Amino acid sequence: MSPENKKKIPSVVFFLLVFTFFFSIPLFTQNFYYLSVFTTVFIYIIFATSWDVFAGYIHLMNFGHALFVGAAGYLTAFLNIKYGLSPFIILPACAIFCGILGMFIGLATLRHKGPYFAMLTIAFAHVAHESTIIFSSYTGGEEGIAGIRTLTSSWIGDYYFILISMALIFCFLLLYTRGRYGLLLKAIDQNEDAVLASGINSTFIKTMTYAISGAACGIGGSLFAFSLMHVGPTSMEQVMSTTILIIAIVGGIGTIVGPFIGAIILTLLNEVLREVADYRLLIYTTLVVIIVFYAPKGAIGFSRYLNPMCLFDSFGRK
Amino acid sequence: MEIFSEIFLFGMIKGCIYALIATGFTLIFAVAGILNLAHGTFFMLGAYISYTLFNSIQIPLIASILLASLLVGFIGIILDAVLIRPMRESHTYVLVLTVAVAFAAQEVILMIYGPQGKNIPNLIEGSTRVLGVVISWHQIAIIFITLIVLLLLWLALRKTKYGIAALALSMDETGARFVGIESENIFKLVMFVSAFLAALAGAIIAPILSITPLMWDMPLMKAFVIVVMGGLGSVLGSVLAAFILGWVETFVGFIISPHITGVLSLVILIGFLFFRPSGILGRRI
Repeated sequence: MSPENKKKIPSVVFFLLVFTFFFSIPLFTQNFYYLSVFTTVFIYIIFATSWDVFAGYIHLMNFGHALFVGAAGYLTAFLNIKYGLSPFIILPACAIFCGILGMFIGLATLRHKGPYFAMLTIAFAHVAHESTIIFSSYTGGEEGIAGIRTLTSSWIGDYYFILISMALIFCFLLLYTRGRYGLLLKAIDQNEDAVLASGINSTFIKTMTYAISGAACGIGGSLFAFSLMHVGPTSMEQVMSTTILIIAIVGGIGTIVGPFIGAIILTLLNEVLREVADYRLLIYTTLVVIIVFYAPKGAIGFSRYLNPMCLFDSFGRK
Repeated sequence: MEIFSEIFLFGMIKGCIYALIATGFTLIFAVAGILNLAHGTFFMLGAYISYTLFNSIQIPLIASILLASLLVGFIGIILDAVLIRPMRESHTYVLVLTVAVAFAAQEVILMIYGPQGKNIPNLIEGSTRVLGVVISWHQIAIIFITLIVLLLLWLALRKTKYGIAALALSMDETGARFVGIESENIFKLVMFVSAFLAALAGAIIAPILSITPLMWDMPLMKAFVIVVMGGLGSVLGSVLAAFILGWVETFVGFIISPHITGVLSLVILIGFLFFRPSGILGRRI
């Protein structure tokens, strides 16, 4: 066994433990509150990891990830309420729709160097948010659309549905970034000209990855709408995009595992901070400033202090 | 014919405010390479600080507007020194830090002033008729203040030592340092001017808009659209683009519906990114 593989075993064990814990929660408690807290954790894991697969690897900041959350949410509401389609059709539809949306934004911006991408992501999310007010006869305006049916017939079923979707997306993103494309993304981040000189179409890879990021988030956004049974303009607000970004940065960008841990930490912290809800955004933004200055690798950067177990070493950024 | 003079005048007022916002945004980007997502926050702070100075300390409105703009200019310098300068090498972290600052400022303002809109009175009360259109003296004052400020900015960039140093830095930072330009001081100065202009825009438009903690994202969006239209880093292009956007938005607002102006600017943005990413003038300051 190579040393590289030896190193990976503890982290595999860690994830087996985490997922075993997630899968066994309904065995200990059927309390609706705890289950819904963990459902929120899973959905934010989808948001943050799907953000990370593009923005974290290429370091092109995506400030409008909520666009996919909202777009998928509204699509879910239309398909579910108007046509009564089942989640098994709606989830792929949302993934395809958001993937195409991501491809379109990518085609418009990723050809250009410079900050066009960051600017256009903000602009798109902003206008999508405004459109929900302009076309309020279709979108319900500020109040949004309520009355989406639940995923399955029971709370426990919903919990497992979302958990399994999250696990599948997480594994897919992990494999994607640990494989050939992850390496290419890192290479593009380091030196795009060298990648182009090797005969690789970097714009294609970037656009495709952005589309994948959008598609994964589209599934998350659809699950979000299903679990709330409601979709509204708040799902597309800049606050949502920024929260996703903060979760990923606090966890550690460019690792997929970092945003996974960041989502768990911040969503649980969110529940603890319920009493001081007014200060939440202030606490988060302060946290992100501290992280950027003192721990730019995020929470996952601390894993090296657990060195005897070398828990995350193979996942942490070098 | 009256509708055209209305579009001309009201579009011009919009263009003035956009020009003040966008020139600062593009200047700091061209000279220091900072894409400042907290630029809208300067706009908001300008409005709130002049409101506070006028209402609590009760100094004359024109003085409170000027004082507020100067104060926000210094806030810009502090922001630059504390948060942006250490991270200036990384575009990514500058974006993240400035967006964090924007949200933190929004929350702080929300805590201090609450969510209700605030109002400050006009600089000059009353209205008059220009080209057959009723227009308030305050709106005429906005046009004159903007034109004077833009003219001063133009002279400062072209004729003074600091302006020429800023131009040199925008062309080639290393080369500018070689000939003895102290880049850090120029960055500070440009940050001050950038924040000053945004705050001035916020303070002089405040009597027309209502002042709310969420008012920072509109100017940021418009600044994006304008700098892409005018060419990233081109001050002259930004001024031109600001007035064009002001007129186009007012025209569409009058002819079709005022609700679609937000979407309109996005359509313009995408159109430029696809067909002319270098903007109207390309990259010239």
